[in-house]
Amino acid sequence: MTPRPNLASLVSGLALLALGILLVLDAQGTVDLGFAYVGPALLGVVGAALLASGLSSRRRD
Amino acid sequence: MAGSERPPELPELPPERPAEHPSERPRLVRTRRGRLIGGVCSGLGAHFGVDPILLRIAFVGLAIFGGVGLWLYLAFLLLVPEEGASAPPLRLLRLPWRLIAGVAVLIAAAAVGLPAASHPALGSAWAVGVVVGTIALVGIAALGLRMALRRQVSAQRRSDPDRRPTPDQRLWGFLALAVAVTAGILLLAIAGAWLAGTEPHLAAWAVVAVGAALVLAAFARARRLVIPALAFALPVAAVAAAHVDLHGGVGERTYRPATLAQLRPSYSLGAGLLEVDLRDVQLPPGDTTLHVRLGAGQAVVLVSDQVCVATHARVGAGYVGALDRDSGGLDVNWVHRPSAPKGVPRLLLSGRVGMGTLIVADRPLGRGGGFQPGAYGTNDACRGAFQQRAVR
Repeated sequence: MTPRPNLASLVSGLALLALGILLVLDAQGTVDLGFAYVGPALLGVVGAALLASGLSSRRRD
Repeated sequence: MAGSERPPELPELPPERPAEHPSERPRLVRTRRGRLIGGVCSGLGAHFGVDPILLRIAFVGLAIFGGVGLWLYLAFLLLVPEEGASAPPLRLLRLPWRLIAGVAVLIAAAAVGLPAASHPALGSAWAVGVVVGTIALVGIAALGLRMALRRQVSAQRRSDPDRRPTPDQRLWGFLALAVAVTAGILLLAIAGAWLAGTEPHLAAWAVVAVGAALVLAAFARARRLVIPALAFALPVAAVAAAHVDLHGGVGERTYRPATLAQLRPSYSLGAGLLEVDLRDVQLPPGDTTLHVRLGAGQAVVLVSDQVCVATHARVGAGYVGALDRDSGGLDVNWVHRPSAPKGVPRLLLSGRVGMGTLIVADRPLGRGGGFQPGAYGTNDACRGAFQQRAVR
């Protein structure tokens, strides 16, 4: 049986993957990102990482 | 009395020498009991007979206003012995002279070597190299201290398995780790911001790669990579959102063309202070276009009060003040395009600043650099004020 992945790393990684893809699209000129989009996205990434970290530490306890 | 019982984990302390007279103050030590961090305030409170809470408030206040409190606290931490210890952590007079000389020579080598190494590698951005090098050296020193403390604790355990680290060893170990981690996070953040400002494509793909690596690491149950990954990726995103372009160098640039022929169509700088002084240039009647681009910092355009200025400013995060108007915030896209009376020169200014300020003024800003709309020009040339004055 494969071990259960670390939730904080998994959620943070997926959030950063999504953010990175947005940044690639911005660098290519496909989308024009400003703080109006990136600000909430950054908060979302940090919030998801904290939430996942909190949930995984509760699970360990 | 329950309050006077010694906690079981604390080692037995030698009794402090009792005061010979009741009015005599106890010896100044950093107490083990009642401490929040290093026992400085509780020790000072016991020595002077003052409530430690008042001293803590004073230290925090001094730390906020000028940072004196932090340095003072650090000095007490190093120079006042812990309760039960015979000597303070830093015994300046008893340190071997080779150690003092070695540290002094290393600091001198860093002070001379960092700027010398940064100049050829980074040119006008040499200050960035000095900052990065200093952070790296401080981080390495903190890591070295942490490792030395761990070795010391291990040696103590080998000689006495029941012996636990002293509160001072725990405190210094924690502080060293905190400084080393902070230095690492800062270096990652600077690397991310620099990469995003110079190679946005590469930086964006680097964030994708970091995200993918984190997902893979999750299946190896690694959880300590989250903070370094975020420390790198978040500045990349912030710099990309502000469209900061760090090409063009770092530092302070002043351009003062004297004639129209010397006026360039565009001026740019990566980061720092960019000043374009057009007050000596006789602009012809009609439109003259000027582009100003700055990655991060302050851009100042100085114009004669006989020139009508039309501004189109885009600022990722910051402030734009143009003569009698201003705007600020995130994603600022500010257009003010007044028409000029016939025969009056009009400057069409296109400004792009990633993070920072764009100022248009009729003279250099005063000390402190504060801009007030209307205090540095009123753009009256667009209303024909100077033309009418000349006709009269």
